[in-house]
Amino acid sequence: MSGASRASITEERNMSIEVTDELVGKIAVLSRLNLTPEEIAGLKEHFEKVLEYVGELQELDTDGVDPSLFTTETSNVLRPDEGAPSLDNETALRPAPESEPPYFLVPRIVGDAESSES
Amino acid sequence: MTESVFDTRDRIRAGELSAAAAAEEALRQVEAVNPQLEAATDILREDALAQAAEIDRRLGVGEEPGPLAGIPFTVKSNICTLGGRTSAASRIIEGHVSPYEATAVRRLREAGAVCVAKTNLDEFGMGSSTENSSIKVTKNPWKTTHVPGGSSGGAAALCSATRGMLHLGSDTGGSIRQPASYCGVTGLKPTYGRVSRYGLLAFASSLDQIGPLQHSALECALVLQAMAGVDRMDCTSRDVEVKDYVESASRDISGLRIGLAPELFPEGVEAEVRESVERGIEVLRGLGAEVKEVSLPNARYANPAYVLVSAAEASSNLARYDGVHFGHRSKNAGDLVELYKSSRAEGFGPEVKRRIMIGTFVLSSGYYDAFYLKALKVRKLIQQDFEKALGEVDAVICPTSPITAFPIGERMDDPMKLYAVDVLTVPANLASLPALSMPCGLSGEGLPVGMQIYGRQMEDDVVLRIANAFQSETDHHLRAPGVNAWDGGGGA
Repeated sequence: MSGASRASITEERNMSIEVTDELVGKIAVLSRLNLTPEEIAGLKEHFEKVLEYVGELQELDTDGVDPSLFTTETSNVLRPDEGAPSLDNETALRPAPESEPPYFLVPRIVGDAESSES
Repeated sequence: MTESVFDTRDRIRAGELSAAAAAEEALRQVEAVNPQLEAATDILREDALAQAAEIDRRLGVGEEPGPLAGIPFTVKSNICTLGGRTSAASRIIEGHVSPYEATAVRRLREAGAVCVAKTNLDEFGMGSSTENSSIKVTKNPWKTTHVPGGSSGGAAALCSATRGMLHLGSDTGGSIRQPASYCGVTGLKPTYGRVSRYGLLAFASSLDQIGPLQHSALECALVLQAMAGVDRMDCTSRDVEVKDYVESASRDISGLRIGLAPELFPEGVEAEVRESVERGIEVLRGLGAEVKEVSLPNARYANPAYVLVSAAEASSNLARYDGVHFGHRSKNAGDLVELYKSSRAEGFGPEVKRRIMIGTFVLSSGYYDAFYLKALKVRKLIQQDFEKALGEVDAVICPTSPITAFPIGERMDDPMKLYAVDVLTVPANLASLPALSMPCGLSGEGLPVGMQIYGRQMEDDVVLRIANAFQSETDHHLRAPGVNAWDGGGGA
């Protein structure tokens, strides 16, 4: 299936997106946000309003229009790859909530010997 | 009291005023109005006086401290400074002190200006009322029961109620121009790429731009001149000649062509706003401008496209607030992913969460083409509309906001009502154009009305020139609000 026809199918389909708790919950996981049931309910309502508001974009025929990421003439700005001073380790760590110089501290991300065996 | 930044500059140059006295006077003004307006988040008394003393020392030994020597300035709290907090008015980085400074700030300091305060905003710039601040709600100096607009509401309120300072804000969808309009000051969103974004906490990188809020177009020109120019730290900053904006803004406008697009005077524009702007256009006609109608057929789609594009970029940019590198870290997390999810849930406010969620949604598999890509295509159409219109005229004029400042709390129950006030400002960000708001009248309620001027890319000078011509002929920009720093330290 070509990219263009896939896009048009998706465009048609979105006209009737059903916003469910499951969809909002999935987006929350992707967004790395823990949300309360009240927040999920509020966001569900917000999603419905936004989808309705942006629905009018579908009226516009945009076939063959180049999507615009940046609208200035500039592209691919190159410069010599030269070293220059940057923040020293101590300064860069200063705003961190927890650190063990020269590192940022995070919770253990791989299991210890016991749990990895189980 | 009507001292302009130029008066302050000239008196310091002439030795009639020390930089230290100028800083003291600025601090006095901020401290006088802040209890009522809650506009400044940090007042940097010690830093400011130390910087001012250094300027005085240099002036004393005959050194040249730069074109802005001793002029006090304030910085919106989403722009990095070495002194004071760069909190973005968000709990997630509430006490954050930046280890580096923004290029725009550095350039002002290197020109001799002295930072005296940081100003309030809607969290990360997301809002149009400065009510979405984790720190406090800023009040409008014309009527303290009303919002100052946003997100640069702290800068706009402080500018309106004081004199003789420079104020830096940022504008992603109107965040300089709309508060400038509501507080009766002049605000410029420069052309995208005119001012480096290095050190501006990113909200939507293809739309964000730093700019000044001042009492006149000439003051804006002075600030732009000091900040503008290419920067190796921002590859979207453009290597285009920095003009003498003060000089070019001072030229007359006879023969300039001004366009009016019916699409930028939509039904929702209040009658008082429309009438004030129309009277403003007559002033420009009287000054020799030629007025003609132009068409922007896709302008009505700008706000929906903006809602999607800005949210998509925000969801990506705000991924960096993870509880590890800076700011808030949840105490209730076991593994790393839980740490991210809890820190972000506890740190971000409701509007920021809404935008991250919508942005993640439109970028997610299955919805990308229908929403994000569609919005980018619409952005292209809007850009083409402006290219065509600005091929026929030198500038396009419209209201800044469909309404004047509204009561605090009135639009907080429904985010969509707040988004609606951005309809006339977001097209400039989508099309990367310079746009300025300036006061052009008062409503029956005594609230300022803003008139907006759009120009061609990199023709910030033309926009400033039209505004300066208008301000040379009228006195709307000289009117003072009820709360101000000189009527007994902050009146009604």
